[in-house]
Amino acid sequence: MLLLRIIRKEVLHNVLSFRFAVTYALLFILVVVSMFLMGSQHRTKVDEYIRAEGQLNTKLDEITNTPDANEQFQKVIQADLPGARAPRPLSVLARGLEGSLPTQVSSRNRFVTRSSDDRLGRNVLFDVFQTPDFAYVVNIVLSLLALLFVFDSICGEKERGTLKVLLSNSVPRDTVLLGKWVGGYLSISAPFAVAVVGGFVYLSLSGAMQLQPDDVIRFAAISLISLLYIAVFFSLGLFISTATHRGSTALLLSLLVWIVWILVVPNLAPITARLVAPVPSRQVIDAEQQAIDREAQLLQESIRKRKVYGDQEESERIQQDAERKRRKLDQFYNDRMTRQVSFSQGLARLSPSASYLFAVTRLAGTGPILFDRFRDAHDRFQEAQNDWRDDLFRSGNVEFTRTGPQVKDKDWFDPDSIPRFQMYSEATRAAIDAAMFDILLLVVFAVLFFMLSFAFFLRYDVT
Amino acid sequence: MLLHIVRKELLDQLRSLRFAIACAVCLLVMLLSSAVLTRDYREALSTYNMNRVMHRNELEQRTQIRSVNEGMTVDRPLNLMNTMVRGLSQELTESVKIQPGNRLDFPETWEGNPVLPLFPAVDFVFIVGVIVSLLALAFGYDAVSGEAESGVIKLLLSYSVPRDTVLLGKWIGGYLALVAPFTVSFLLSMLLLLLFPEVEPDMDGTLSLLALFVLALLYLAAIFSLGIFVSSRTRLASTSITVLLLLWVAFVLALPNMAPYAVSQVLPIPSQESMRREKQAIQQEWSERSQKIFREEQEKQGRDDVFDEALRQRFDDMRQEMEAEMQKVSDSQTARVRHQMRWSAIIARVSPMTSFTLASLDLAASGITQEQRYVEALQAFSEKWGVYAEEKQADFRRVMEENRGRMTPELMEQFNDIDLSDAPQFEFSYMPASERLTSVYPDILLLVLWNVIFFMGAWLSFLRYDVQ
Repeated sequence: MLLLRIIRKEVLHNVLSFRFAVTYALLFILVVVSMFLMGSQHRTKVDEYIRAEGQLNTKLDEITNTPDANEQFQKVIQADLPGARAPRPLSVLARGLEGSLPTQVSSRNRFVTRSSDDRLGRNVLFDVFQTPDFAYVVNIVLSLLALLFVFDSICGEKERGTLKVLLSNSVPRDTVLLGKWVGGYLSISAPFAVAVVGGFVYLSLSGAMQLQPDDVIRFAAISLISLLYIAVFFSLGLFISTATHRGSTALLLSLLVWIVWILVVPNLAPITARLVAPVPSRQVIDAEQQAIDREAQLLQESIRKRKVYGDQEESERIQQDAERKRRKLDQFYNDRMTRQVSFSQGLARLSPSASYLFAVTRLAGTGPILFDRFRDAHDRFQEAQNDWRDDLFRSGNVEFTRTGPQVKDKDWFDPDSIPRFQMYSEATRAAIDAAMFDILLLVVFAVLFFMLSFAFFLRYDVT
Repeated sequence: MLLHIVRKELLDQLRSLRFAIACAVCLLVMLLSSAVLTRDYREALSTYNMNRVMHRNELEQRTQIRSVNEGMTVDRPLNLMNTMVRGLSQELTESVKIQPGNRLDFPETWEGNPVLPLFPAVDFVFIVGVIVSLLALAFGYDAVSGEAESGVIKLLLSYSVPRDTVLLGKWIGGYLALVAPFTVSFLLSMLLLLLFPEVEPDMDGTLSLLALFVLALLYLAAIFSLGIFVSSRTRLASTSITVLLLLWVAFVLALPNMAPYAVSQVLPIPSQESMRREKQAIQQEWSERSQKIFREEQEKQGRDDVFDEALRQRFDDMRQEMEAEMQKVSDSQTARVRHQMRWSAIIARVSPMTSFTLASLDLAASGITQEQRYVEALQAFSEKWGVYAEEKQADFRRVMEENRGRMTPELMEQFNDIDLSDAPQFEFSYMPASERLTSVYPDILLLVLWNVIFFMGAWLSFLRYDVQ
């Protein structure tokens, strides 16, 4: 009962303050504007994807409708049937690595190329500053606002003398602290929740996001993680407030902690990890693989010149040997890279900001895992396309004559048999499980700071 | 009188907690970032040297005439300024493939460490733009309102001292206290940079560094003046810091990031893929039309071999027409991109942070202008390579033509001992300092303007400030 009264007092005190009004306005504007902008951005990407798919379908239709089977075959061989990559719906909330991937891959060229058009034909200002998505707003802005909200909740009351009056009543200190935490947290998380719901309504009504039930769960999970993240900073601010006796000191310390912990530690981590756990550049690996190939080729050539029976076996052995060496190099590179990645993640996790970012991008499907998924999908697509083309030639349906290919079976062409580019996303459950480590880390931070503030407040000198 | 006030203000600040914090943060962050980025530069330098030798060797080891068509790989020289300003590209090294047919092939970003693109680099621009600017607010927020609260200002103004002198003194004292730790940290990080034997500063680099430092001072002055301005408009220090932090969030953390997205809503540009599709459609139409003409001609003349001078001329014209059309598509795309970029930059420059960032990028020769220069240099080199490759293949082509494309292995053997060691080298120099300086002066003027506006605002507000 007493607790409720303290909570009520705290909420009222916050809501009536000038700080609340402006913070609330800023928070609401930022969350909604970011969702609006990223939503529109996403919609153009989706339109682009639909257009690419449509283009592919018209191309296939055109081929299907070609009356002459021989000409049809010719067209299939020549055509590039590119694979389009569907943008992740939740990149609206956390863009992550979404922008670093190509949106289309060719079916004829194994390597994804970037021409000078790609390099210059884009607005580079997008790359100068960080993407203002929801994850950014929460990660950077909201953590600061949470600290700003709570930095004087204890020491400010001490300065005004109200804390003395409050504690002269028969109310245990733990109840006071808990009441302050709950009241303060409610008054920042409630407007945040309203803004998120507002953004959600906008996104689903405007059609910027095609919401599957699965995505709604992910959306909710991301919002909950954001609330948890705010709780971490709220507890941290409370702790700083119980450790100081003047509002201005608490503010400066909060800013210091925020700068070091949010801006410096996570951002320095990846480069530091790169220095500590270096990976040889891909080009060196490629060059060594080429050297292996060349060596194998030379050996095989010298064998061919000998023209002795039984050399076939030796030649094959050389081939296998080279293959093994190549694979070993690839393995070496991948191992090193995995080590570096896990090292950078571990180092970045010293700050809850990185934990938050990892958890949210994992759920949105735009985190570091996206690169792996894309590589897999790309390899799969290329292999399937190659197999499909090989099958065309090997099926015995086509005979190559001087006037061009002659097709025996006239309706051999089945557009549905053409392999499409398909990227599989992680199941929601698996994503949540994978993000659990980071979520638990956030919980640990929140609890730790609350305990610390509790310990400090019990012996706080209120006079 | 002014000196007295400056002295008092300076002493006040030097004894405060925020000065200690500013010293700690500046020293720690700048030295840490400098150490990490310079070591990264050193690693990149060795990678660059290795790659260059490797690519050159690879080129010189080729003997087959066909291998001329494989193009060549060139490496972008390193920019020493990237130890201060990381710029647009994530990686310091970059190997670009020059493909035949004047095509460039840039490396992909998704091959490397996926954690790297998730976090911005903590370079000089980030440190000054975000971290030190926040400290500047902490130095300025209670310059007037804090003293009004504690009553000091009443006492101060009871002496025969004009208000403008008081304000100017406060500004100078506070600003000196702010930039002192910053300057010291900057100098120390420069020293640290010079400790690396790989670092060889040149005239251009030194000049740009100096200009970068002045730019940072100007930017910090603007933010500090904003602090004093808001401070002299409010009665309570807590109110002024609230207002300032919210302004800071809006103008430093949100506006520059959101402006390009907002502008791209108003001035959309079609994607690269759709442009490529448009080009492909043009090419397809061209090839279909020329095939049709060829067939018609065959039917008209009643024989297969109809390729005479007139027809060749006609095909050449059509080809040129198609190329012109494709160029038009490219140009219109480029124009639209430029247009969007210009407006994004204009809107984003409402925040002084944008002016500072873009100007630093230009000063470090790692910004937008630099990117264009680099790609243009690559294109020029690609043409040079094309001419060279043609020359190398001229004899081969001639023999091939003579034999009507049928080459015996013996004939081929003649051409398989080519020597590519006289291939052109890719030379690229970063913008000279004078060019960098001229390209940033609008931003510098803009920052000066912000300074004047904020200081004038502070002055006007302070003149009528009620000290009671």
